[in-house]
Amino acid sequence: MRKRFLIIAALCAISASFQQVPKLNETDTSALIKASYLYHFSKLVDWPAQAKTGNFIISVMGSTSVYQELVKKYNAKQIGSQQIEVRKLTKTLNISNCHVLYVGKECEDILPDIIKALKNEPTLIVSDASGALKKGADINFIVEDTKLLFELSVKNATDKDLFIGSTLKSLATRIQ
Amino acid sequence: MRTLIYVLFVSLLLPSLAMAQIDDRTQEAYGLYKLGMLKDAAEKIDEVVESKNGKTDAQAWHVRGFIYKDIYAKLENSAINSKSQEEAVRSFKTSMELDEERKLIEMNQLALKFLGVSYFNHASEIIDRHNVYTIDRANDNYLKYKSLMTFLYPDSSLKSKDVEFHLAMSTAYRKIYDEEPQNRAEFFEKSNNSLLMVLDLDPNNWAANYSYSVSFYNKGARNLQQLPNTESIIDVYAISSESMRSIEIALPFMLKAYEIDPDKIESIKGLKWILFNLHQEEESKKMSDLERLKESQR
Repeated sequence: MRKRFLIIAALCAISASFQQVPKLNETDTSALIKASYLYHFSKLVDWPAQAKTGNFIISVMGSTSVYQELVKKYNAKQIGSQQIEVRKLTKTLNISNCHVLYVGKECEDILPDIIKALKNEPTLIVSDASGALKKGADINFIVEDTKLLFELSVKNATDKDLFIGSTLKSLATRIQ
Repeated sequence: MRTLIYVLFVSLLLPSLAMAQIDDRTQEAYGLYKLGMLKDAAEKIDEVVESKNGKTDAQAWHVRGFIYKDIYAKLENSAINSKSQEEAVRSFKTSMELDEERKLIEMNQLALKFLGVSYFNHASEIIDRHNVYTIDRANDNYLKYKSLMTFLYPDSSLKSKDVEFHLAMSTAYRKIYDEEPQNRAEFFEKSNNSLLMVLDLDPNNWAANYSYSVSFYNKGARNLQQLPNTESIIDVYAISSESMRSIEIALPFMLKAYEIDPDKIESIKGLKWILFNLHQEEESKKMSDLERLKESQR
């Protein structure tokens, strides 16, 4: 039998898009956590009777990302029978009635003045500044070992007729 | 992963009938093969290699290899998981082991290389589909490719192919996970395990370091996006703690990616976000400034 073979072989490679690096999720995770905490603080603090009518107002001064997260995810929720209403405030001392006021880092410098302005109002003041409880804030976000936690002042809250529940106290890193 | 194209013009490639004495039944099988009667040829050659003399006949195994290769390539259209492909491989390997005079070596090697590349291409095809039910079969096909290449070229290194394969597998597993992250946690693990295999082979692989980092960072960020659905502040505390742990895992791998290639904008952006979310705001700002600088230089 005649030995016959002819081989034409070519080895080549074509690029393919099998390997793709993942896309980074560009999220401000602090804003997600703070917004969620603000919502839960609202559920776990008891306001005096006169504050239990109308909408439940959460105001945000500074920190656009926290405001946006609250508007997007929590605006339709309720605190008891009250509908949540989220408001964005400019850096001002002219603050209308609200149940919760979050003062972002950008507005840290006017925090003492804000506290003074709201001294007799049943407004839970949540801040993001070191030593804020001593200045009169009720709850203050802190970072410990990369974790976002909070400290609270029962006294500051009680002075404004705000009652802080035991669950909130048990999760606080420090209580004054 | 790249698809290999190994073009063998199978219509022109015929078995080498090199020996003086060839079993008549092998001749008969070869004749059927040449006429394109592949199933009949297979039946005939199976009888030969099962016979006392035939089972040690390198020529018979060689012809058998070609018959099954063509069944796989022509009748089965190079289907994945083909038994004929397996039989062809087994036949060519047996022929090589029996071929003491090495008269059939070149043809056996070429045919085995073709079959090996086919396994590689099957693996690529499975990866490209990234189907939740079939993706793991890519591993089997790649291992068969590796096994054949090692058999043919014992001294060659397949490290770069291994890296390419595991990166591609990681991508496929990740895509499967991303479709239903709540129900497919095991694919998150599999994707990261594939990246760890790459890092084991090549610790300075940029893509593996970057992907591993982003994988954990995204997991943390994704978990936090579930926060609005939580009923209790205790859940918020638990989810945020777990998420931060994921983001912490991401940091050293992104730092390594940045060290490997400081000019890559992806690593700079990655560090900016990871550091920011770990509350290292000063360091994050430096990366943000660097990002702006790099983008202005583009």
